[in-house]
Amino acid sequence: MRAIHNIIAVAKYESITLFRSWFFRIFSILSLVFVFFYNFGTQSGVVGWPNGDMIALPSMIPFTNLYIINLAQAVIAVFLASEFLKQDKKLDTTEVVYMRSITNADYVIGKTLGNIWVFVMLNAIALGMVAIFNIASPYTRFNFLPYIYYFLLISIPTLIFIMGFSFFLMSVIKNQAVTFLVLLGYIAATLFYLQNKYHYIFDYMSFKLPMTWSEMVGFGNIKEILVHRGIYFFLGLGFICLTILLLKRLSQSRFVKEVVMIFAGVFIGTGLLLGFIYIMNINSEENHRKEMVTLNNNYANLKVVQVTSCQIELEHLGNQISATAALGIKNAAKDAINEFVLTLNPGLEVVKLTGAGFSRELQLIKIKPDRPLQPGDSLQISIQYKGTIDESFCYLDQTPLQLENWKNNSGGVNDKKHAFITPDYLLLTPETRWYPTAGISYSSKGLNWLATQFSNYRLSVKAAKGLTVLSQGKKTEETDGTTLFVPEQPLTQIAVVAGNYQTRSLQVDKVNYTLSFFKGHNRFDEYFKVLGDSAVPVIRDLKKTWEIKIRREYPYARLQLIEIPVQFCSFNHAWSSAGEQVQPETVYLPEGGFKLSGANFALAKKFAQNNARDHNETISPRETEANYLKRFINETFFNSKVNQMNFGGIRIGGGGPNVNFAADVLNPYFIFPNYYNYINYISSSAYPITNRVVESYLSRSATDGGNNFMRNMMGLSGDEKGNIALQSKSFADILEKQEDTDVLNNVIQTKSGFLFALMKGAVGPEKFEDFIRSFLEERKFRTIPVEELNAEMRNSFNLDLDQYLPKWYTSVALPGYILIDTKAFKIQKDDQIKSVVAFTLTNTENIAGAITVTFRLGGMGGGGGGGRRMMMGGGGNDDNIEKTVVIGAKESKRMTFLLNRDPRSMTINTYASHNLPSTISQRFEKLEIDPKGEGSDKEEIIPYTNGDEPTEIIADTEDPGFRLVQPISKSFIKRLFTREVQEDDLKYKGMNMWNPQVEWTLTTNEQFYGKQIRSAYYCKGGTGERKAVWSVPIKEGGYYKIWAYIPKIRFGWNRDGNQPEETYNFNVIHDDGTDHPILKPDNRESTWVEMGTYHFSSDSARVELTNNTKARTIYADAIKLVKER
Amino acid sequence: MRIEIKGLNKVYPNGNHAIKDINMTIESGMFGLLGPNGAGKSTLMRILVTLMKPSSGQVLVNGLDLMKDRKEIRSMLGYLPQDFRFFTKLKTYEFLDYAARLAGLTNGKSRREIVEKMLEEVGLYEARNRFANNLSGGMKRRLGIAQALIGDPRLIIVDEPTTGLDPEERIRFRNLLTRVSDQDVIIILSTHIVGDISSTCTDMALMNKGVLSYKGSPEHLINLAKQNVWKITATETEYFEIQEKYPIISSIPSEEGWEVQVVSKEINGYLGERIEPNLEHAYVNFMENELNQKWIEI
Repeated sequence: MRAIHNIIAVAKYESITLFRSWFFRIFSILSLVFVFFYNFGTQSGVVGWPNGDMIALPSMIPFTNLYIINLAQAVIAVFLASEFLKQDKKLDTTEVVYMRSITNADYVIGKTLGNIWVFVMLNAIALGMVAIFNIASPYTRFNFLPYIYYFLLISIPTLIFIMGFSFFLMSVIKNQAVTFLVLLGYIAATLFYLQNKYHYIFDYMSFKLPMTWSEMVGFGNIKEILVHRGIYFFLGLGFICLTILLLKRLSQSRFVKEVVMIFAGVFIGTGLLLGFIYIMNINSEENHRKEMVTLNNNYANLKVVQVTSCQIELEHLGNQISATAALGIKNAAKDAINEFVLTLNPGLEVVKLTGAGFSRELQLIKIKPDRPLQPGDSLQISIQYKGTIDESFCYLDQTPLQLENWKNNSGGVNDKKHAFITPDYLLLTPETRWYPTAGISYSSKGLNWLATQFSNYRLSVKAAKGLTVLSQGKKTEETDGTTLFVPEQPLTQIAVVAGNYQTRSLQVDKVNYTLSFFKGHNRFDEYFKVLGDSAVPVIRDLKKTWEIKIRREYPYARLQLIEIPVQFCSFNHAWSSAGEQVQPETVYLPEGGFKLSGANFALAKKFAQNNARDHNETISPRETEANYLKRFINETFFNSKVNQMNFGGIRIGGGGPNVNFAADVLNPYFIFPNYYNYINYISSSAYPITNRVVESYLSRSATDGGNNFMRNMMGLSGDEKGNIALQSKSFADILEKQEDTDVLNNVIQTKSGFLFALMKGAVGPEKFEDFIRSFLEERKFRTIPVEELNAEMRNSFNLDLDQYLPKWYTSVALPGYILIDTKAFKIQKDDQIKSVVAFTLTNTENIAGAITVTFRLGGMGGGGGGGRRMMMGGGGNDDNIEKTVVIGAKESKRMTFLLNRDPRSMTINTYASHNLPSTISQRFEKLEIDPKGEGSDKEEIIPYTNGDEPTEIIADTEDPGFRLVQPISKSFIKRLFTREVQEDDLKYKGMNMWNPQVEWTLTTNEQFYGKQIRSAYYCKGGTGERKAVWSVPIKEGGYYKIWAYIPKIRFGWNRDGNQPEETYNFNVIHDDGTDHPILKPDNRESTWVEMGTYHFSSDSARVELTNNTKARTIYADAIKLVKER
Repeated sequence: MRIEIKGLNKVYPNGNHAIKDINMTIESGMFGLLGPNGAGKSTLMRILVTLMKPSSGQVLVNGLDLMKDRKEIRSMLGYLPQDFRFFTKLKTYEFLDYAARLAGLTNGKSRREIVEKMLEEVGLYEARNRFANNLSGGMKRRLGIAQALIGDPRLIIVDEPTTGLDPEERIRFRNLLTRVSDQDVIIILSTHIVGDISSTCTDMALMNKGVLSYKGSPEHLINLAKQNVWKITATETEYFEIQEKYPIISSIPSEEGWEVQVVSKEINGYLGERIEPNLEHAYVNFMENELNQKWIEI
């Protein structure tokens, strides 16, 4: 009792002292003010913009706020902890405390509690303020639980640890300044360098630790969180105990000292043990995954049976499931099958299997039929199984590094889950193999496992009482509480979800659209008050527009949109762009529309209101609501990729300006798989990737071309990354090695584009398009052998795929193109004004090539409306004309195109080629009528030309005579703390126009000079300390006229590319000294700008460009010399 | 109350032998500890208040061993350190309340009464809501004394308590201590100011260079100085000679030149008379004349 009295006494006055310290007050007030304005801006509805994350997931409100508070308090705690111990040393007042009859433990514990109490109060005040904003917010719900959870899991362990650690260090180092430096260094290291490294083990502040709390399922990884926070909580307690032992005061009680020693040991031991468990869990998961892959590899070449029917009876038993799957199995191979394997999640234990002999090893069920299955033979087996889902089994194709990157990079939720089985919720998707499937799921040996089967599914589900069950097919609720699903067509897969759902439905033509959301998550009524039945034409139009683009029809009777917990995620497989969020006739949407930009209706409403006010327009509420809906549908379902800008949000994560700044991420809600992957499958044993190639082609044709802005930010487009990978390896090699998914995707994309351009070139684009669509349409819901496609192509066009595929698949050679002599003018023809575009195209390589030329028609306008369209999501179909040109090896062609309307621009896609950027664009200004001009669509082989002018000497940045004068600008510390550049091995970097690189940085852009590689160095305008130097070899002395190529780069917000006082300061070192010509770029286009005429007698002419300019960025591109006669 | 100190030594890590083989017994009442700077008084006191461990020897407080029974001994202690000037951000009342809590006053109501009473006794009641750091030097000292006395300690150790106090405050302070010493308590008063001891202590010790040089009553120390204290009337020239030859206690300018008090066995030809010594004279006499005689026991 006396001890408690003492502890309370010390704590009380310690907290009073701390509360009165100015340092604490200033820091606390600053953090509270920050929190206030942050919430005022994001939640009040008065100013600022409604934050989509907070609206979608109310737990993000205390979560993000606690990050701010936690960061502030970690720093204050360090300051104060070292400050107090310093005071203890200095002041005699401490002596009058030390001589009192209290134990060292009472004193240190009291002191710690006093400090913690004040911080707890700070947290309480801040969270109270946040809660008031939250309750009053017009946008979002208030949920009290996450406030408590996050406080306990983020703040408390952080405080205990940092205080214990600071006290301990101060006791050991005994020098306030040194301790302070060490501690701040430690904090900085965890914040900026260690971050999420080593699975967040060093993240004591839980600044990066995945801790998302879902209203549907709570935390997805509570064990991991508790272990992680436990590490720091117990280490903190251990350090406090060590501080008691190290306190410079004669101990009062040997007994207490011994007890403290024991506690110190127990606490530190527990902390270390938890750390060990944490690491072991991760390592054992990695080993487990390796084991599973090794096992799969053993069966990589085993014949795979066909599952013709799959009838599943599923029972949801709290944290487990129990199921019986009756499988109809057929040998569709040409040889007899003695043994085959099925895959079932290793967390599910097979209780009974009837119909054949079996053995189980990890994820595999090895089946030995009583007698060998002859070709065409069938077999019925029934498997009863029970258990839970082992998520480590999912995505075996991903390496630990890829998984880590996935976790860290996408979407703000890092505690990613692939399945949920809780008493109140169930979500099982095919990736988990919650029901047995034929063959293995993945192997690192060969690609035989890569196959899709269509089966007749039937699913009956008995879920916990009150839960709504949703799956594919016609739904019937039986009287015994089971729900039966019978899909109308054979499916490639089936998924099931059960939860506390509410469903809204809408019939539009033949499709029944349903929206199932978690009870209490209705955010629709508020934003769609008047739309009502007007949604029907909106949906109809959007569907129609999309289906015209993709030239396919939605094949199902229903489309279900189902809200699922925010932690659910899927990773991209290389062999399919379909993620788990899109299932047959179903799309799973993240909780509250988390991170779906189109689902932030509050923001859309605010934009609409502001827009109407700014433009003095009146838009009816119905129209406004229709606009939100359009935007939501367009952005969510019809975009193949999402542009993810990684500003890091509140969590620090950005790294350097060129680090992972923007990423092109596949949109997991892209509806496309319901138009291809779940309807058609083309099988090929020789070219297993064929299906993926067709998929890539179709999905690309349904989406607008690449986003130039993103391309420029990233330095390379996906196609170009693919191109680079293909420079030294064949498609087959890259597939065989199963390289990085991102590279694979890009290679597939570019190779697919190339193959289809060849096909289109051979038979004509329209004909080919019609053919491939109707071919697929006639063969829905079954596997199509590639031989069938080939036979059909031979019949229709006398075109043999086998002529193309082997070279396309195995050759390393790539074509490379030069585009010269582009002319565009108008002519009068048959009383009509038409436009003509002509150019010369040369393929410089020894392999035939194919390109597509896309003309964007519609006269002037400069491609305007982009910004507005992006906001409102109109997404109208542009009037584009696409032409395909096939060109032989080492061949030049003069191409002429006759167009009915003015072209705005021309884009040439070179696909798999040596060209960088892989697209070449040309904008057209107003075209003049050429009275003598004539034209018709014409393609003419002309003598080979590479466009070289014999009189011109051109020096580019790619030439050996080019060099840079480049002082190192980053300090040692900055370099130390700059995050590793993941794409450091890429030669060409992205261009960041907001914050241009200080150093010369090599990048590519179609505005740069270059025959095939259009590259240049760019850097921020400076004072002349950096130079780009061209040493141009010249054969003979004399007078030379010099030009510099000055590009005009346009970015979205700066359409003209004008920069203030944009000057290029050159130095020309000539025979009579050095001249300093100052050039101004051409305002309209990238072009050669004349510098003057100089005399050179040596064997090379030297020209320098300095970064001395007031322009934001400057480009070092190319220099041209022409000898004066 | 009784403190027995046996063979006490303190050697600092730098080799400084701060106290050497101290043996003495202190009984209830006021005990004065006198000695020049660096004599080892503060070291002895810090050992007694359990802030420092002796290198060897033993201290028994009422039979309890200082090294083993710290809990019990600390609960009897009241301590006012020498340099008691800096306070954390607490108000006068809060500081005293903190001390009272730590002194074991667990009952909130009675603690409040005791703290208020103590504030009145030391004349700080009016200043109870002022931050302790903002008090005047004297007030800070009084607050220091108050916190040392709160909770009825039985062993009170005060290090240079009257430094910086004006005469009135010094007298008040002495009276306060004297009142407390009526009970069965030991008050150890370490000081340079001889007057503090002569007016309050019944027993005293004198330390020099870490050694206990004298232990006994102040009267005995005075007796040792009898016959050795002179008042000399000197001219200006003589005054300078005397300064060279004898330790001067005081010197007052007079019509003839100077009236000088010196400690010496003889004054060899100067015009002067023996006077009655006080403790101050006795202290100087002891330091000058007796210190070579090793140890004087009554």
